[in-house]
Amino acid sequence: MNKSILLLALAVLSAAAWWLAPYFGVAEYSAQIHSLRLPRATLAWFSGGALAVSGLLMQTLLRNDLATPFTLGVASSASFGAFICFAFPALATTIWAPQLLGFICAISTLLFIIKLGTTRLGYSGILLVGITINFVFGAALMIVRHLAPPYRMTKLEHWLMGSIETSDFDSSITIGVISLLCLSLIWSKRHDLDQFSFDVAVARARGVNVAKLLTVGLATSGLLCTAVVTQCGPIAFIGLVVPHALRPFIGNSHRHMIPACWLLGSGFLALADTLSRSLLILGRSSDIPVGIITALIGGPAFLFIVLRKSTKYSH
Amino acid sequence: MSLRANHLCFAYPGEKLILDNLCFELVGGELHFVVGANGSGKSTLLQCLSRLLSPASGSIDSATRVAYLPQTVSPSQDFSVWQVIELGARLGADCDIDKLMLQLNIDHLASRRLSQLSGGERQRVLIASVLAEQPEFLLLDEPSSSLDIHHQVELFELLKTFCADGLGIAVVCHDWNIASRYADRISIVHDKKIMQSGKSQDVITASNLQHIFGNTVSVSQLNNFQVVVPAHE
Repeated sequence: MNKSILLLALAVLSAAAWWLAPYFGVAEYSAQIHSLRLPRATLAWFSGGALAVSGLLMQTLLRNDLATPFTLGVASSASFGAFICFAFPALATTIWAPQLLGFICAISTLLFIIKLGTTRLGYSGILLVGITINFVFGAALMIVRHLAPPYRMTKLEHWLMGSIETSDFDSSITIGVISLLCLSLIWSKRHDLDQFSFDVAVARARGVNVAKLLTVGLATSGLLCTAVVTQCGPIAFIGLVVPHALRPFIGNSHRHMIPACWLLGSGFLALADTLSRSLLILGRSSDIPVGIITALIGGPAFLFIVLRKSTKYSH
Repeated sequence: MSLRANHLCFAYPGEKLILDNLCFELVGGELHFVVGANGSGKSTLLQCLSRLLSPASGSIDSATRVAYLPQTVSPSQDFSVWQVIELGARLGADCDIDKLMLQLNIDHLASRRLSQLSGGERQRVLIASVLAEQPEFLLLDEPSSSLDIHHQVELFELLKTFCADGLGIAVVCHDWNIASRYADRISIVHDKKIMQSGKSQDVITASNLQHIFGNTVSVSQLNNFQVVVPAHE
C-alpha cells in the first residue's frame, strides 16, 4: 500500500483516538465531560507520540532492535529526581519541583552518556553504560522508597507504574513544545539517519557527521523521554513496540517512520489510557496506571511481531 | 582527472605508522588493483582516499566525487534492494535507478530484501548503491572476498564496463590472479609504502613476490597472464 495513504490513515485514526477518548465510559453525551477529560486525553496523545519517536531514535542510533527510550538510564534518573520530591514533600518547594528535579537528573545523565558515547564508547558500550545507570538509579529509587513515609506509598507506586492524571493542559503544553523542538531537529537529520542505519562506514563516506548525529539524536531521544517521564512516570513498551509494529508496512525510511511512530504511539497511548480509566474490575472503576495496560498489550504484541519475523526468516 | 595521495603518513592514536610517506594515483577510466600482504595498509589507504581517516601528514588531491564500499556492510535493518540503491542515488544528481538496475542485471530483485540475496546478488546490489552516487572514482575494499570464481569473473567484467565509461576504480584484492587478469594497473603496498606500481607483467614478478611472501609462492605464465601459484617444496 502507498505509504502516504498509510500515513493519512494513521493520522485520522490517531486524531480520532484523541478526540473520541473522553467519550468512552460516558452513558450520555456531555460537552462538559468531554472538556473535563480532554486534557488527560491530550497528555496521553503527546506522551505516546514522544515515547514512540524516542524509541525509534534509540533503535536507530544504537543499531539495536531492543533499545528503548529507557535503555540509556535517562528515564530512571528522571524518575529518581521526580520520585524524591514525591516521597519527601518538604523538598518540593514549588508545584513544578518534581518535574524540575527529574529534568535536572535526566539532563545530567544524558550529558554524561553523550560525552562518553561520542568520545570513547562504541554502540554496545553506550548500551552497557545505560544498563549500568539504570541499575544504579533503580537502587537509589529503592532507597528512597524504603525511607519514604508509608502514607505516601500509594501515590508513589501509582506514579512509578506510569499514570496520566491531569485536569489542565499545562503538562501537554510542556511535552508539546519540547516535542515540537525535538521533532524539527530530528526531521532535519532524517536522511543522515537513513544512511546511518544502512551502514556506519558508508554513511561517513557519504558525508554524514556520525559524532554530531549521535549527539543530536541521543539528546533528542533523551529529551523526549525525559519530558514524558517527569510528567507521567515511566510508561513501558511504547518506545519498543511501535517502531517494530510499523517497519513491515512503512519500511526503514525515517521520512515516513518519524511521523508514523508519532501517530501510532500517540493514538495507542490515548486508547490505552481510556482503557485504564474505563476498565471495570469487580464491578467498579479501577483507574489502574496506564503503564500496566501498555505493558499488558505491548508485551504480547511485541512477542507476536518477533515470532512473525523469525517465522519469515526461517523459510 | 585523477585522485592522488601525496606523501601520506597515517597511524592510529598511540600506535606505529601504518602508511609512511606513501604516494598513490588513481586515474579516471582505469581499474587499479591494490595488493599486498595482510595488514600492509591497503584498506587504510582506501579509507584515507575516501576521507574516512585523516592522515597525520600528506594530502589527498581531488575535488571530485569519490564513493567507497567497505569490505563488510552491516545494515541495522533489513533494507529492500530498491531502498539500498535509492540511498546512494540521494547523492547523485540525476541517477536513473531503474536503468542502473537493468545495467547490473538486478532489476528483478528490486522488491527483495538484502538478507534474501545470494552473495553475488548482494555484492552487485551494493555496487549499484555506490554507483548510484554517480562518483568519478570508486573505491572497493575486497569486493570479491565472499564470491565464488564465477561471480568474481562476473563482477570484474562488470567493473570493466564502467571503467570504459570513464570511471576510475581502485580495488583492494588478495587474489593476484584476478588482479593479473583484469587490472589496468597494479600497486603493491609493502612496508608502509607503494613498493611498485604498473602493468601486471611488470609488477607480478618472482622477485616482488619473494620479497613479500618469501619462498611460499612462485609465478608462472599462462595465456599471456601471470599466474601466482604455491611454490613446490
